[in-house]
Amino acid sequence: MKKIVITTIIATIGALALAQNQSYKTGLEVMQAAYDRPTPKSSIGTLNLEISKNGQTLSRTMKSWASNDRSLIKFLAPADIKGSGILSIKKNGVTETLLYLPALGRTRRLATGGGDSSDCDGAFFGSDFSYCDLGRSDIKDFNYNLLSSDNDKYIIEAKAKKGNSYDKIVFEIENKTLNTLKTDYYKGDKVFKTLRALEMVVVKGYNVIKSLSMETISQGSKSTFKQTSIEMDVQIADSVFTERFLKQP
Amino acid sequence: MRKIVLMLVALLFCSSGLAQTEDAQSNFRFSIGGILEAQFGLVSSGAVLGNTAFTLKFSGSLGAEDSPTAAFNANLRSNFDAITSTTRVTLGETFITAYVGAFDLSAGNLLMNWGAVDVLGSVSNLNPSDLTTQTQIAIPAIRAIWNFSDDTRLEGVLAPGFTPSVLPVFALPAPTPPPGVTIVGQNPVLDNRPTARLENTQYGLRFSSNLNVFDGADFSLSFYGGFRHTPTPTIRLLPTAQAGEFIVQPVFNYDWIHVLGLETNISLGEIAVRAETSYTFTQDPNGTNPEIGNHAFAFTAQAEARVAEIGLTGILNLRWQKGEMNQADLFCINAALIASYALDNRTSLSAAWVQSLTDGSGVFAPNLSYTLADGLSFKANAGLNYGALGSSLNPSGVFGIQIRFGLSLSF
Repeated sequence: MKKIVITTIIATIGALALAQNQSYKTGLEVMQAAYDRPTPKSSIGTLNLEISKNGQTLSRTMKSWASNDRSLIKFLAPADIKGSGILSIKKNGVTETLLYLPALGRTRRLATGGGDSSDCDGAFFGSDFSYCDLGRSDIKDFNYNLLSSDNDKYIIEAKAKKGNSYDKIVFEIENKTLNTLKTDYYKGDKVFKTLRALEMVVVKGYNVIKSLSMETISQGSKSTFKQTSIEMDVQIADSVFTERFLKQP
Repeated sequence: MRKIVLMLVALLFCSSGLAQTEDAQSNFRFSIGGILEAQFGLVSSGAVLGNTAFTLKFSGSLGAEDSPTAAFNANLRSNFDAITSTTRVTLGETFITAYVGAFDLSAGNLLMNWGAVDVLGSVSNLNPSDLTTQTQIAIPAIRAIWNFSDDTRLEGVLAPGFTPSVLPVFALPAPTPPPGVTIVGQNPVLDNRPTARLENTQYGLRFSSNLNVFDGADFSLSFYGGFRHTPTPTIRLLPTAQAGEFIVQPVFNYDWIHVLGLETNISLGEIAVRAETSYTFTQDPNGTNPEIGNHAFAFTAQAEARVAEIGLTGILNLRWQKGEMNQADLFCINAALIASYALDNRTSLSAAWVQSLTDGSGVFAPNLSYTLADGLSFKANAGLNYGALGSSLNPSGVFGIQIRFGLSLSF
């Protein structure tokens, strides 16, 4: 499951290509067009995650490498998790995940969850993002309903065909770029969490979300991802996606 | 010693601006960090626990970030026990590594960390252990790892010196004198530690690979030649000038052993399975010499499954040890349930319950953790032990409770 995370931080933040400006008639068409936009083959990024509640902030800094079905993330700060890392490699449809904790001195193979992302609801390192939130869901897993559209944006409601963490998800998607500007995650009739794209930049022709936040309404807490550096479509050596590199300082 | 620790702390805070740096021209990166911990606790027997520990860490690397040519790592730990007013300074993992093609060549004070299970296993024999804390002790050694593919490697280690394990306080059983023999005294323990000689060099080899079966399956085959770090204790009776009177002479010998080990780490959907087994060959297979241990077999396996939706982890642990002649085998099965719940972004609660299915003993341990700031956390945990005398999880047989509070600052 954490496979999703690693690939996803990059995917969510950095991989939205510029789209052609055309109109779509159904929610599925909009989502499919957004989903089908080209994504970079590889990326290297440094990310800062700030977790805020009641005016107090905790932060985590990490560096990630992603290429095709392989990804690796290393924590740079704070000191108590520095050096920890997760390596995920998809082989034959199954994602193998290795966790390295410096205090343990060795890597541990994690249960894959049978491909079902069983701990999807878990908070990503204490933040408001769950592993699911950071993942790229399969478009076929949802039914879509176009609630409204105008010259600026589409409002689309998505309901999972099978069990999901949320009862429904409402996307606010920009017309011109097909970027998701805001996402409301519902539990029952109430908005449980809200995801916002805060800052966007264009890198190598990709429209990159440089900063995004997730707010948990009931708890009054907010987590913000900021991309402090990003390289896309770069050559990443195969040796990066190995246990050897995972353990290197 | 306390002055040294304080100076180190002051130095670190003064140089915090230099704590992490990178020289772009030479591609040299290094960082200084550490952990300051304080812990206080109470035990139902009336004992009080209190200690502070300071760990200083240096690490760095040379070369490109994703393909370094060399790296170094240094750890120095000072522990002050407030109850006994004793300070112990230990050099932890402190070594340099050169990355030469497919080879990782390391020298220094090393921890080998072999084994697959969470407890101190029988496969990891190169490093001695601190049995009071259930941790391994780094030793001077050289190590070469040949990474001949992404998934497969061969590791070789040479350790020229000998470091014994740190033992908990224990009393040797009083000898039963034969008829007509009178014990008139006892000498201090004769600790026959091996000396540093070429023929006493300990060595280890380990082959590891991912078999690419199931949802990932690592396995390792290892071989160790060297000394057992815990002594084989025996008692000699030394005659005195007076006929029939003897003096007790406790003796610690450290057996030269060969250990063949096998370990595996398998992911099966929702379940992770970890297991290791070893066979130890000594120089007294038939048990004719009481001062040398006998061949021994050990097997440990654990299966772990997590139900994330309710924050519950279940672990089943099996341990079987067959060792000294004329002594019963050790066989135990433990089941553990660990529940964890994040109250908010800073507060987490967990509780672990371990129950022996073979002798009825158990441990229940609730924990609270609160993050005060980045790197600064408060922890409170309690432990409740129950079970009969000699049981696996409560050997003392006394129902016991202990409560600990701790603060930890990582920088």
